[in-house]
Amino acid sequence: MTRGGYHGRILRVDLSQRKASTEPLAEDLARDYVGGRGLGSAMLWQELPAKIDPLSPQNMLIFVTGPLNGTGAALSSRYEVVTKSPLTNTILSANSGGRFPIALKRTGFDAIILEGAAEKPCYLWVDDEQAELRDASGVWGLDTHRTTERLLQETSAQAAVACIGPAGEAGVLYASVMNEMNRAAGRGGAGCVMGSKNLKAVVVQGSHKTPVADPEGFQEARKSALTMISEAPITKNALKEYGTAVLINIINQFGALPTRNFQEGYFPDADSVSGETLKELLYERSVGCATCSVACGRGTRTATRSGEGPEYETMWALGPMCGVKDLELITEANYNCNELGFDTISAGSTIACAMELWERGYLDQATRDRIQDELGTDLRFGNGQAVLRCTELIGRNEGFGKDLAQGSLRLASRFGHAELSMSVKGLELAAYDPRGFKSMGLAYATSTRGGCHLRAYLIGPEALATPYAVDRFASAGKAALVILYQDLSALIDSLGLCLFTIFALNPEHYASLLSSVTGEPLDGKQILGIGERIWNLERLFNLREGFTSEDDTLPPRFSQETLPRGHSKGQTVDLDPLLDEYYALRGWETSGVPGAQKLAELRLEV
Amino acid sequence: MAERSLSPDLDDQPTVPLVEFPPQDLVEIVHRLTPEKLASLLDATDLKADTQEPKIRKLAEWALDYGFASLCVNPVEVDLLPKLLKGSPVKECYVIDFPLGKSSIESKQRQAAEVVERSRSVRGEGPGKLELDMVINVGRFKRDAGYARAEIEAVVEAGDGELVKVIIRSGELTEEEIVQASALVKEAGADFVKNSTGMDVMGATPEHLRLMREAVGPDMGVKAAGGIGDAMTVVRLVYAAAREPELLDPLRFRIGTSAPLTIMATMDWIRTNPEAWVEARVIPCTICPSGQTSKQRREVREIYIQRCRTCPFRRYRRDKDF
Repeated sequence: MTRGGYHGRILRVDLSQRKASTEPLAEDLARDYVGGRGLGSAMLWQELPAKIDPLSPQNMLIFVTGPLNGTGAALSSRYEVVTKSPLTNTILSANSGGRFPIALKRTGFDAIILEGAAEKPCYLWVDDEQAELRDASGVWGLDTHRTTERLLQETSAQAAVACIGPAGEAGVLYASVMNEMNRAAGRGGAGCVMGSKNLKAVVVQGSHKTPVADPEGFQEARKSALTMISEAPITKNALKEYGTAVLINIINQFGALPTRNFQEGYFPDADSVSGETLKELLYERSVGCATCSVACGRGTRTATRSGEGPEYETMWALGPMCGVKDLELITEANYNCNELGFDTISAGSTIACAMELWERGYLDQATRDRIQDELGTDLRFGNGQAVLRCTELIGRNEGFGKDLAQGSLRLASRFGHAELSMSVKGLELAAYDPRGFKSMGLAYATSTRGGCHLRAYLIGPEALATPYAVDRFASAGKAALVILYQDLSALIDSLGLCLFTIFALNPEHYASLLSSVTGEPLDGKQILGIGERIWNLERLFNLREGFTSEDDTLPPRFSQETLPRGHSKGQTVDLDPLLDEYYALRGWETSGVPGAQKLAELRLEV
Repeated sequence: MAERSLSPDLDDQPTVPLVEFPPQDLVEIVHRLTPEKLASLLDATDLKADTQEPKIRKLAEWALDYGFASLCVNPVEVDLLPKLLKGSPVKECYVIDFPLGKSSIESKQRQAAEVVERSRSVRGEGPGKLELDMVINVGRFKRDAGYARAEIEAVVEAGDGELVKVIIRSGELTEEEIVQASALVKEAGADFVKNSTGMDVMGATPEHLRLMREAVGPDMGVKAAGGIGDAMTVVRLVYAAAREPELLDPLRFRIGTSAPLTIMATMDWIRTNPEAWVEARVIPCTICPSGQTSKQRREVREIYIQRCRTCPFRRYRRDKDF
């Protein structure tokens, strides 16, 4: 590999055969898909047979870095876990930060492909290109904190651990892969796939430096990016001071903080669960990923426990989404999610769905009695103790937790009310009501991994005036902006950078960073072209799995029920015109299939 | 029955202020605003009370790197700024009688003369290296335009040929007064009319900048200031006050901003897809002078509120928290 940013090697591990091999990273893959999400998705597209069971040994689990990991670029310690999602059956790339991504890169491998399934619990230990599968029976069943501590003792105190908790072992469909104990490759169930392979952890360390093709140019690009991150209001002030939960009051003020399973967009007690209140009551320290100058993570302590978080989405999912205003209970429920290893958004949203089923009387009496018995309380909105207890049951996949562990769509469908699942393609939506932010409706509907906010975070322009303020209720121009953000986000996730850089940097900054590292000159438009290729590839993957334009939709609540109060009162979403415009601008047929001309332009083959 | 007039002052004015823009015109402006051109129009500004030397040094570094028109600071920085900018085309800009404009004419004149003398002495590069942004006494102007004219003439004289910009605090004026004040600035021999200190009741709105340009014509400078923190705001203000290509000149149009890097960076964002960004419009009230009335004096506020009531965008005003 002559290209900077890569070691040029991939580690492939066959868990069934207990064999590890090294293979070269194809230069054209690195050029066309960059790394991280793009590279992992391309590998999955090329190698994974269509329509396999995501929890079968056939599924692949790819831990993949980007070319900026290990270079010292600001906010460049993110990696991706790429697989087919057991929750949604879509392509899945789940992103996490911390120290693990750089440690992974320093092993000398750009990616680790895990295939098959081990006969017995094991973990992978990679130390400077040396890979070894080790027995994990001693840590199987332990939570993510105890597992991490034990494996660091068994391997090296300098190593970094990404592991699953009991949720991943037990088949919770939205189990996460957790690194540094509290950092989650959270969404879509990568941890569940890992558990199905009897793989408890990946432990890494190394000394390989990431090669940089143009060190002088890179230093200039790095300095420019760092200056912008240090000066942009969101990365300079808000995130640094209050963490991501600073958004609670802001989004609530817009009347778009989903409350009680999206029945409302305004939570009267929002301030009691805000970033400001968190800082006042439970905050201990700021926590940042390696190379991060923002440190948006929150080290927190309750009366009895300590840990990290909750972040904004978690605070919302376990709080207002369930009608809960008890900050300490939310924080402890979040600790449960981290320690047991599952996605807080899907968990909170599924609990909220169950609460609405309960309140509307859609659960039969036997089920209600069983739930009441297991929780020791009812399941009405606002019951924080019920939420806390549910997180314990989900993490162990026990009792009513088994129902919740399947996600809201399966849960609501089971009781005959799929419309109460606030999800797209089976992935629970995030903390922005699309009736208050119209572009988020389109972003959710077309996201390649289901109802995800991170595939196109239009909250920047619609709520935070970044890069500048646009009319959040208008539809005009939104399809083009969603496409711009989808393509750019795909690129950022492939570089190994934090998505929060989008609050400070623009496409030209990313182009300068990537160009100087790889040595291949690129401008902003060209890197958006790479993002577009990645997006279309993910789309092709999902089409191959049987998804159609019918799946590019939103829960009916958003078109049928207006928001009853707050500053988005009276709003609904009219998705169809936005979708039509979106397909046309994407160069897709009206059926949502990428057209031949577009595929040729992107050098994609079906 | 005859239609009730909005106000005696506004009968002949359009009912809706400049809050909508032809997309294609904005796209053309984006194309004209190359990074170098955009930088050349920026007065990078720091006028905070607690600003310390490292911040001034950092701003100077940015100004030199990007090629901003000037670095706009409080007069006390005249001991440092000339040294930082010496040998460069970047100008020093000092505010005079900031932000209220309530000193006497003599005081304004003395302050201007002092910074001119001091700057030239420290920089040692002769005239033409600094600019003065003075504030008129708005209260006096409202009843005695001659007083304001005398203030401006005094500072222009003290400026000894240096470029003088005059802040009229447009948010405290009726539209008729904005037009009068702008014309007065021109008659008094200043080089630019500027809308705001950035600390008064209203920042830069396209509507006010449009009025100012119409009042002074194409041969004089117009400077927009106050709350300008992104490139699309700049594009709209250019549409309002420097639409013709020949007006995109540092001697004809300026932007005062404390966020110059954000403006430069957001312009790169817009360039990736100008059509999309232009089509995704802003909430009109956020850039409308009628939408920012809470701190205005009653007689001015009532004019704007009346206008707001008949605006086709009034649906946005059901709640003001957009």
